[in-house]
Amino acid sequence: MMASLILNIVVILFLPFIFIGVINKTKAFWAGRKGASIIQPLYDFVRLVKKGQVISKTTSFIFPIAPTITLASLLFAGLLTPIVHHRAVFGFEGDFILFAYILALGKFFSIVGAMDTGSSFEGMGASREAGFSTLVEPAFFIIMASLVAITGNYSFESVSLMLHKTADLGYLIIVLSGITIFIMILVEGCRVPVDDPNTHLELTMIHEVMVLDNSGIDLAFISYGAGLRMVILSSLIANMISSSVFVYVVVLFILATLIGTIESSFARLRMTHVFEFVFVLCSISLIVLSLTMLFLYGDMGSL
Amino acid sequence: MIGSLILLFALTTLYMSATSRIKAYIKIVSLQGVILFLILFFRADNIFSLNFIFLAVETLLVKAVVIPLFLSNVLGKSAVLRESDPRIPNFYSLVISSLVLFSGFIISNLHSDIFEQITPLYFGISISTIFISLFIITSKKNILTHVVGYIMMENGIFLLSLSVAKEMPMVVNMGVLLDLFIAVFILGLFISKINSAFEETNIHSLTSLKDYGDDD
Amino acid sequence: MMIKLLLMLPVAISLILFLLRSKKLNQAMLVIYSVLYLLSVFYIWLVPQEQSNDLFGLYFRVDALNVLFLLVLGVVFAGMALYNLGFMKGLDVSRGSHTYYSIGVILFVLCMTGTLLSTHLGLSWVFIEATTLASAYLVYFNKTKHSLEAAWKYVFICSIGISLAFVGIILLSIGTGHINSLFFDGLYSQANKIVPIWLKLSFAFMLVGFGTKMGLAPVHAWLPDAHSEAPSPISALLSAALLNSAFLIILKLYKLMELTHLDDYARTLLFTMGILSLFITAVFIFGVKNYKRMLAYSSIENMGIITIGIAIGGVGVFAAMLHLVGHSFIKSSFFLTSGNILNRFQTKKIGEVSGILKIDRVTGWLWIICFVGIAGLPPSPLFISEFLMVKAMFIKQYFFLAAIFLLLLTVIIYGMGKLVLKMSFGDVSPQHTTLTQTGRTLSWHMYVPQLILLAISVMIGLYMPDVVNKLIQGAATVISTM
Repeated sequence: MMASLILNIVVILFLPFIFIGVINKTKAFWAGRKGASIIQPLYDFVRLVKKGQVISKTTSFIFPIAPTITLASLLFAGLLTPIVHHRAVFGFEGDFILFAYILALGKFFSIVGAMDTGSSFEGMGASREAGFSTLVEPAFFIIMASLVAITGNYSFESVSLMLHKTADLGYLIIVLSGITIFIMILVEGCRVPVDDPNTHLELTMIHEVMVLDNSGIDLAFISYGAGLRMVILSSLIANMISSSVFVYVVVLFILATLIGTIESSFARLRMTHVFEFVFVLCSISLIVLSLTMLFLYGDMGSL
Repeated sequence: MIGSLILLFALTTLYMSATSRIKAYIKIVSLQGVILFLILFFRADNIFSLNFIFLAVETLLVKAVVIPLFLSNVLGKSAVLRESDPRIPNFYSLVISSLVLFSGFIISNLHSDIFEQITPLYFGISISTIFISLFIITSKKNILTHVVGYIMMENGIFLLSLSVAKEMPMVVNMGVLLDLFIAVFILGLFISKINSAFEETNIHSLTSLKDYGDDD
Repeated sequence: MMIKLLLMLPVAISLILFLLRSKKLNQAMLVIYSVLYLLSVFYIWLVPQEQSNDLFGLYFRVDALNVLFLLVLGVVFAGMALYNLGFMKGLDVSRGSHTYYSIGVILFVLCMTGTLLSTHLGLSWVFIEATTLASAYLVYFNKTKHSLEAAWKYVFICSIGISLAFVGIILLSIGTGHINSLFFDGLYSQANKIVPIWLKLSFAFMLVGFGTKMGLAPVHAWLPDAHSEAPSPISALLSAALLNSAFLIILKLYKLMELTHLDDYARTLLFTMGILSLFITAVFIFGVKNYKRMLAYSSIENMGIITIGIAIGGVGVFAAMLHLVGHSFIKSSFFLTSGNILNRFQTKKIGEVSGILKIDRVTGWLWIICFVGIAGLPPSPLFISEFLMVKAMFIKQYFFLAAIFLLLLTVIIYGMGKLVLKMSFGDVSPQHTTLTQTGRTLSWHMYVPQLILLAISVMIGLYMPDVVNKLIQGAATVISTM
């Protein structure tokens, strides 16, 4: 118990840096550069923490506290996810619902903080970000509901229990859910093809534009938070495959390289197409739901 | 294995309803031909029977190679490469297609005796494909898109005929293929003629024959 | 033996025409073949045929039902071939186009014959699809922009419809379970073993699919364009023969529904589509600017009436058969006459045509008499058929339906009559007055077929010969077992 708690905390605190570091290293590799070191994000974090902050006069009290609340919600959500072991440290029945809404709380505050600055650019980014979250949430719930219905376990533990269902259909469900969560990583972590983290053109930014006015420790929190989001969702995928430490590390490493590769190979989609791309999550989750119904009520043998 | 292939087929129909590039349509239709061939391959009991060889050649050769090549040829002659302003924005088109796919599943999974004779995964997805292609045909304006939608509908019908537990008679199969091949051929010919006959470089709907309006 | 002849001779003839490519030969062959065709159909009707047990006999057969359809096809075809002699003289086409035209007509008639004779549902489907493909070139024959668009719509919409019909066939084979046969006889004899839900679904799909080919609303969209842009003899063949062929398949399916006691469901669907066809015609007949389109909408209306007749049952079935015969003869005559008008006035717009009587008396009177026939005024056979249908509606106490039926018919007759009379009477507009002076006469080929067809219809309408009565009765009893 103690060991898993320590492991959990260590992973949540330090893995996001390494995750983002691997992504950047992959991008450098594809670009033919040597790239920054893998723990560069940690150095950036420390640097930003040491800096002072500039806070705009047009903001109200929300603006300084928003990134903190977002980070707090993310850390709490991190404690709810199962890292390596079947069950999260603080897992309980129905924990995934709390998980989703805590994340939503964090997202809400980041949006409100962005709009608080009174800049129309940030408002534009905020509205787009809100749109994506709206489309992602039903997909997440539908998938979790399907997994819960199949395994009968009302917590995140159901994700890893899926392994025991070895029917053909079970594998299909796992694969499709994995793909959905992976696309969710791209959406929540603001990666290509949903959002380009390296763009400097304000009209093409979505997440970046929300954090234009943040500086110093707030900015550190926000960039760390993006990494943490990606790590949390990747842990879900890792749990679907196996529950050993080695596999966990390998899966996260593979996912980070995959994200980096996608970022180097594709361009960000046109804005209207981004919404369609995000909706694909819902479509696939509907398919997962149908397969679940087939699994539960149909003849498992024949397809 | 077959299940994953059928699901892949369903995902291609979703992609079709969301994109607006005509080249993508043709590639997807070709991919569907390959998927159908693989499904046929894994499902066949006797891969050396005449029926199977004929069907395999048909799916692989005609659906995956000949017809897409022919359509790319026609596409090359026309100046239109994209479906410009469809009647329904692509996003809603994708939403509607997903809902149709989902309802197809639900309907085919109805838990009663009457639906015993079918394999639900095949049936649900093929019926959904047919309706999604009808939807694509009616909601897009470009005539090449219409032809691609028609081909997709035929693919869905083929999948449906695979879902029936017993074999369709040979005559009927031949009839379907002949129909598909010749129909697409004739339609393609017409498109080439339409390209040269109509002045507009952007082929929208053919609307000169109508009532209650100004006839040309 | 005759059946084999009917099916294999056209292929041989087409090959000969293709190789020789002579206009005179094309024309002659078409007329000779149509006469041969008509004679063979008469022979088949009057002389009972022995059942041959080979492959042909299994898949193709003549019975009391399709002999009626075959006769109608034969007569219309003969009339059209005769008209064609004069029609082609007025056109300036290349040898190649002319050859393709003749081959197209022959193959088209072959496909329709195949549909009528077939005893297998799948084979009927194949032949119906073949008719679409065979007539695609014929509709496009004028090679104008409009005819291109019309041909496109025709091929595309009919292909989609036929594919939906195929979905219906697949659903039917799901429902038949262990019965592994799509022969109509096999289905009839095993009717009680078919799972009802699949039969219902498949009937719906097949009705929509074959109804597309037949011209029932709401899947009629191709009909006004195709029938108006095709050359007049082709329009006659399309309206008077093709729609009937599709109808035959629907009839056979309806009989299957009757045998499985699902006919209430079938009737509802048929009524809906029939009334919708009437309604659509009533609405659109006021917006037409092209007189051939007007005739096309009238075809939709008549197909709707026939469907309603079948759906009513009882004496309605006899009335529907009679209506079918009468409509084929009168509508083909109508379309052929429209060819005369087109030849004279060189325009298809109603607004530009007036005073036909002054320019060409015979054409003008033919136009008016055809309209009288289609409107259902005595002595037209359509009068008898519509009267019998209303009578059947009253017997079954469908009063509301009868009221709507009569109302829509009246509206349509008003719409059509307004246009027909305006075109026939009145003065000739200035730009066409030269036509009266040059007095360009059409050859007798372009009058005689209509006269013969109208004479037959009048004879049926006034005093039906016993043999014709028995023929139609025979057809009706095959359908309604109740």
